Amino acid sequence: MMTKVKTQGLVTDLMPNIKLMQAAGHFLFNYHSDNSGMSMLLRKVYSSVHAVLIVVNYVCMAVNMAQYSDEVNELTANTITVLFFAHSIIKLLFFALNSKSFYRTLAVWNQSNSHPLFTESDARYHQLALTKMRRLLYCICGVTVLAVASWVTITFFGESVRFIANKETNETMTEPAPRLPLKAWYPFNAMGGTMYIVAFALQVYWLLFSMAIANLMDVMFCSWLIFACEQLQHLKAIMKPLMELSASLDTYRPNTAELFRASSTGYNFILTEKSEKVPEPTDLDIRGIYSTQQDFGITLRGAGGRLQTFGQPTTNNPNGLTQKQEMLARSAIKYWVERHKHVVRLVASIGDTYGTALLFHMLISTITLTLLAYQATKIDGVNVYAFSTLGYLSYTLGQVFHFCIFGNRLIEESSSVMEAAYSCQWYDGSEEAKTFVQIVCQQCQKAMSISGAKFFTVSLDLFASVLGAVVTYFMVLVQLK
Amino acid sequence: MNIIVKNTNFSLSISLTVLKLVGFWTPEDMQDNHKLLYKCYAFFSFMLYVGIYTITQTVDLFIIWGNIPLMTAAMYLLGTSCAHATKFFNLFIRENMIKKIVYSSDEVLRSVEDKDGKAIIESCNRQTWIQLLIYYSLTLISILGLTTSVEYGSLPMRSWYPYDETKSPAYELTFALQVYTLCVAALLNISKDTMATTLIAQCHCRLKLIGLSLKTLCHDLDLDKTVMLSAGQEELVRARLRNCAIEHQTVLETAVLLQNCFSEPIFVQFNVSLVIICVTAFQLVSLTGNIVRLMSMGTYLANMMFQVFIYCYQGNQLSHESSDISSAAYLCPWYMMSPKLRRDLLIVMIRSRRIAKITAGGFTTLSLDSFMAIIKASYSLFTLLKQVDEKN
Repeated sequence: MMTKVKTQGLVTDLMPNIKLMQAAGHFLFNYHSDNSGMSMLLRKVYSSVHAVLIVVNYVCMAVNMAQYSDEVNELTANTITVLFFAHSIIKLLFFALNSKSFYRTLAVWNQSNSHPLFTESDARYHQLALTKMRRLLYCICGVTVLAVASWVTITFFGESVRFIANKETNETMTEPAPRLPLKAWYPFNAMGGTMYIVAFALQVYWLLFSMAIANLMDVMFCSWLIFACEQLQHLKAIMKPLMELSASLDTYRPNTAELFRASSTGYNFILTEKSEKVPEPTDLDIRGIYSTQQDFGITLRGAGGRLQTFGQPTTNNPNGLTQKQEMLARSAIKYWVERHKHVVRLVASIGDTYGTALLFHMLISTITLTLLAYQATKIDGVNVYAFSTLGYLSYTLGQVFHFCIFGNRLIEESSSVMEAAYSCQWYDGSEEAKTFVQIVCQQCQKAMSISGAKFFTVSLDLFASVLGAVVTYFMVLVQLK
Repeated sequence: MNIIVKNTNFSLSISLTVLKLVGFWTPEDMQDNHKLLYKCYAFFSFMLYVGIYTITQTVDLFIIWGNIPLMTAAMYLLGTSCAHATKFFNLFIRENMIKKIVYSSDEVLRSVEDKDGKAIIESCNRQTWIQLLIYYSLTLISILGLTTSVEYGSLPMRSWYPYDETKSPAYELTFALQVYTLCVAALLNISKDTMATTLIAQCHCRLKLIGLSLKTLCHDLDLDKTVMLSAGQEELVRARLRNCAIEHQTVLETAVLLQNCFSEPIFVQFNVSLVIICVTAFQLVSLTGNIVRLMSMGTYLANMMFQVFIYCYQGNQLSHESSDISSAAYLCPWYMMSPKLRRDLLIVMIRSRRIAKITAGGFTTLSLDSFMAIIKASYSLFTLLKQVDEKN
């Protein structure tokens, strides 16, 4: 039905995630092979139908909450459910309004530079990133399905009632309610019969799709962070050979021939004369040595990109490097720095795209967790109430933990680049190598981080403070009882 | 004599014009004996709009001491006039220092010619203009609400007067006087806050321009055929870097001057806002009947929070931009420079690691974190106040 669509960069890596998001009903209309008017229209209709169903059911839940707001316990429980699914509505809307920003972030890695000495390392870390992203996707999909399954299962346990406050005696009474996963107001009577089955099926569909909508977007965000982290790992790994290359430019080194070899293991890369990436020694064409489609800010204009010699055809190099080898060494540094700048751009783009969504998520989660702490003080045994409260609690905390841990990893990786720069043998290096280490250390002192619209930084500190606040609140409430 | 104060930033020129009309921004081309008259006019304005009211309010506060709801009703405007008076004094004493900052920033921003630089200045102007608009509309709504929600026979603000203000002609006159002084005092407050925050905004705009020139250090040099810069190109880049470093030093000096000029009024403002936010919230919660008054108090609360927010936001932007200089320096193709030139760049990067910040009296830095801390502290005070009130 669908032919393979030609994609590059992040889109190729994240294709399963993108396809799942399209299936779940997000307003993601790019990255299809078939862009004819008819199929576009069909896709738009599909997404709109999902959006309408999800919003309508959500409104029904909100109406139910307003209807039975007299009794405190009922109100609290309904508020928690409504807030819990507010994430899905907000994320659906956020994507619809911000899709250009998402497409821009997905396109950031479309043109990346390359260097003959480092292609193998690049490919290895890219593959690592890909494996981790897939694993995360499967894990989260599994958790979502498990959550829906356990929710539906728990519906069949316990009493299916709701609490009403008797206005005269001021006591709480119970009133029978339909045995459905979610409490919602429906215009039809859902107590039994065919309408009950219809309502049940609708709610199961609704649970699955709304949870999928929220979780898949978070997975996309975390996958971007995984990719950025693996790129930083790649940069750290090639730091050592890079320093040796740079040092060989003006300091005597015994084994410089080894440096220009690229192999599949270790730090040495063998670059044979017969490799198609290497031009003839007499052809000092820079494009054969250092290739990039779009050199950031520096474009390869016409005239064949011939090397400009500075009047000295031979270099006064202590290692007797040929000019081509010297070019390779210098362009390696350029590759490293430009790749690092590319990663910085990617992280900035991720922060701009997803920061506000994180801010909303944290705001709603804070309120939800506060209410859940209050609910948790009323647990009085192993029953449906206990399981559902603990389930809500662990799911909400899990969502926050999910993006905090990847944000934290990014912070750690980006600041450890400085340590990698320091730990190579800079003291034996040239002036160029030393100033390279200096500038890299300066730049990488400040870690790259994702912030929620500048109000907070996404890191494990954030998670710890949220968890600490919930526990403190819970303890205080227990004392007050 | 020109009435309007010219400046590249539109909101700054409006604010300075208002201050000039009231007597707190001495015109340049005034003779010395006129300057003395101008200063007397300034004193008279101060007494009319702030001084008299502060004194009468303080007397009234002593009369109603102990009655919490009435006290809170009186305090929420008294606190504002205290902060207001501090700002007036500050402006009076430090007028020359502030003028120096305004003129030097203006000169630098006027001399920018390239397209990207102009775009940066344009966006800074737009941001300060939006800020001013929001501030004006919030103030207007709260004043309107405050004045229209009083019943006939009582005044918008509790105050002690040496005469009986409830009798007929005295009542209308006092009402009109209160409304007039309220409007002008609010306008002056906005102008002073806008002046301070716009100067900080201009500082971070200049830092952004420095960042732009660092990014484009090797701009339109013929770079694609080389891996290292030639000697001639190095000289050119070195000259450009030198200019950037000089401008960077100037901006950092300006930030220190701003800190010296505005630190104390900001501190007083923050303390007062802390108390007022909790007091206004308390009023809001205990007031039930009058919907218009409720809404105007709500808008007033938003106004007070906005006042703190603009200082914190601009201070945050300044700190953020000053540390961004380092990243901007990294973006130029420094790997093409010789080690000598790289070292020059490195010194700029090292300096920019220590951020330029504005503190409020040395206690808190202006940043979004301190804004959140102030809101949390107000909320705690508010809950405490409620507890005390419930006990009574």
